[in-house]
Amino acid sequence: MENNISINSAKYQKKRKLMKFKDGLENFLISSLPVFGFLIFGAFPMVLSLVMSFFEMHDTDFSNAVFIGLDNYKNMLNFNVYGKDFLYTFLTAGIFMISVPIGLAIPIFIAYQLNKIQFAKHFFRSVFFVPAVCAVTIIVIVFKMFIDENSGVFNQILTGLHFEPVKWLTGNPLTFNISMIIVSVWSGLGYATVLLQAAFAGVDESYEEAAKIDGASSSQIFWKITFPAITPTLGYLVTMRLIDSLQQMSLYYQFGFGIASPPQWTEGLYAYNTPVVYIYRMIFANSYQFGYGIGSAAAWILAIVIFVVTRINFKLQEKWVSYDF
Amino acid sequence: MISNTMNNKLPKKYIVFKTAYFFVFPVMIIITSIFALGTLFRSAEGYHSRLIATILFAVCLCAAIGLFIANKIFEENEQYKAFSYPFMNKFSLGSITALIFLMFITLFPFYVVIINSIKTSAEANALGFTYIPKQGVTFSHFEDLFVNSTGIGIDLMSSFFNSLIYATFPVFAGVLVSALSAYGFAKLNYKGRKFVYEFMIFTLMVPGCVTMSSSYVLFDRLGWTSGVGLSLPLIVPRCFGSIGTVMFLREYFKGIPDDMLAAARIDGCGKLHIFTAIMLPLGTPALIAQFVLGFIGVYNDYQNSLIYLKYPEQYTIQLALSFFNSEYMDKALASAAAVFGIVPLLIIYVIFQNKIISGISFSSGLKG
Repeated sequence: MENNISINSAKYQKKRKLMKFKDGLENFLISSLPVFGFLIFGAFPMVLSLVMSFFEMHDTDFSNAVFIGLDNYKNMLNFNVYGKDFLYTFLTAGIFMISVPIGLAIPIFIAYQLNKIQFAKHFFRSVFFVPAVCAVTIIVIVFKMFIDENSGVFNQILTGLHFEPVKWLTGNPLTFNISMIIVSVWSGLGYATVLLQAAFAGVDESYEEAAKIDGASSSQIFWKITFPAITPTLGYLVTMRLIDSLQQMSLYYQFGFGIASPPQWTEGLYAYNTPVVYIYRMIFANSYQFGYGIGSAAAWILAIVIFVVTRINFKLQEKWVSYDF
Repeated sequence: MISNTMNNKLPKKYIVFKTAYFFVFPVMIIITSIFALGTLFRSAEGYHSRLIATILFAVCLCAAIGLFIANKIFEENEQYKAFSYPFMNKFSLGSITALIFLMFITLFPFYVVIINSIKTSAEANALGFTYIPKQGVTFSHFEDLFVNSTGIGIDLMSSFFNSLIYATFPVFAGVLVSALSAYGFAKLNYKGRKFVYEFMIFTLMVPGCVTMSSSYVLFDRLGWTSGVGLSLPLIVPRCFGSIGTVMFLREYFKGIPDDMLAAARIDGCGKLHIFTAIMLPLGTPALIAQFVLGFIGVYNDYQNSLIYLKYPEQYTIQLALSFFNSEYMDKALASAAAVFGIVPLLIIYVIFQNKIISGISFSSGLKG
């Protein structure tokens, strides 16, 4: 190397640096096309919505916007203004969160059983996944026929067995929410089953064999070996489901607006209002009263709630998720 | 198995009990849980269904627990524990029963909607659901949907084609862009690559509801929300690919050996040529999986169409279908519409099910 002068010459080094820079730039451009997309359609709107949350705007034109500081946030959190309405939407979301443990317990059971049987495994898995490819709209149409008060299948079975028919959608906010939980558990079954089945299949059998030889009972093997081994997947599912259930919109919106008299928590507070439905209606349906600014503020409050819930969830998951397998 | 040698030593009543336990116990559990559901409802006037359900639930529960304990006690006998007929090892009856039971629950709603769609309107809307069409089978509702659609006011066919446009070209472009980006993140080095990648993952953490208002404002300022034709807000952002796809394809491309790329470079391939000549052909299975998943996601998207589409001619299939949710809608017609909404995805699912399922299991960090 020493006797090759041109490599050490300043001109060569400069050229080399330039070439390296050009190469790096090229690589950056190749890999960052989606990044530009996210900057324009993801990051910029994020900043914009933060800015908007400090303004009162009833249309999309910024020249009509009025800067009001933190008033939007204050109004959203003040119980005498919109705070009560907003709190009730979180009550709805909180009740809907019950669907997370139920919606994961059943898939754990299915996936465990699927791994035990020797045949038709793929057939069963495919069948359980069918609801997952259905759109919410279709699920709503289908379940309308089930939970209809007068001619629904559920109520028909109930009256056939001499039970009192249940007003699933119009009775009270609680039954409305229970109906939503039933629907979402049914529709989320397949996705969780597929993931958990893959997790069960990935458990190292030698651990189970060893435990069996040592005389462990099958329930001991399940709770001490098999279940801890699938907790990473389960933890992932819990996190995703929690975030999704706080951001639930389509299901409640479509069920809520398809019925003539939706149930109310109290006067004027409808049970179909999840936080996102409420925010959507603030922005797009009642923009004369609320508008884009306060809608953004509400969305940021929701984002903070989601963030806190996720943090708590991660803290809790440190206790029960094990990465030792 | 081992049991064959031991059979003659075990008293016959044990064998009978074990066989009975094998068949009865799983059924018992299912019956118990059905009665448990029954206790949740109020009984009708003049009947005592809830009381009966509670009593039966208690009885079944006690019986099930009794069977379970008896089996546990018998299992202290080594011969009993080791005994089994060959079929008991082949499959677990409990698993099969439970799975078939759950499978019926999963498929029952589809049965209801399909049966409703071929009933006459009078029968479908009558009080009380009939499991088999009694007034004859008719396909007139499908005819109404597509041939006489003016009477309903919603053109399902054209909204289906709208959805098809939104779900194919932008998703296809998005997958290609994501693939290019994944290739960059997996195989090309530059300063700050890790930072850029982590920035992308960070944007995944921000909930979508935050940008609902500002995206609309942005697109409205750009003049994209007022058009009557195809809606640009539903097309342009999707053309830039999705982070999930980039992450998935990056993992996939990492598996392609570097030597292959080095050989191509020595032969004079540029970076983009390597991408088109090596990465794309080798990544085709993964690309198809991502395309299908993206297609399903966009085809099923309701929220964005609700925000950006204003005129009936623009509606996607989901928006059009949501008009059949109304309380006053003819149930047979609504069912027919739902069946029409399911069928395209069901066909895609049946064709690509292995790709879809492996794509989903892979994206959570597992290989299914």
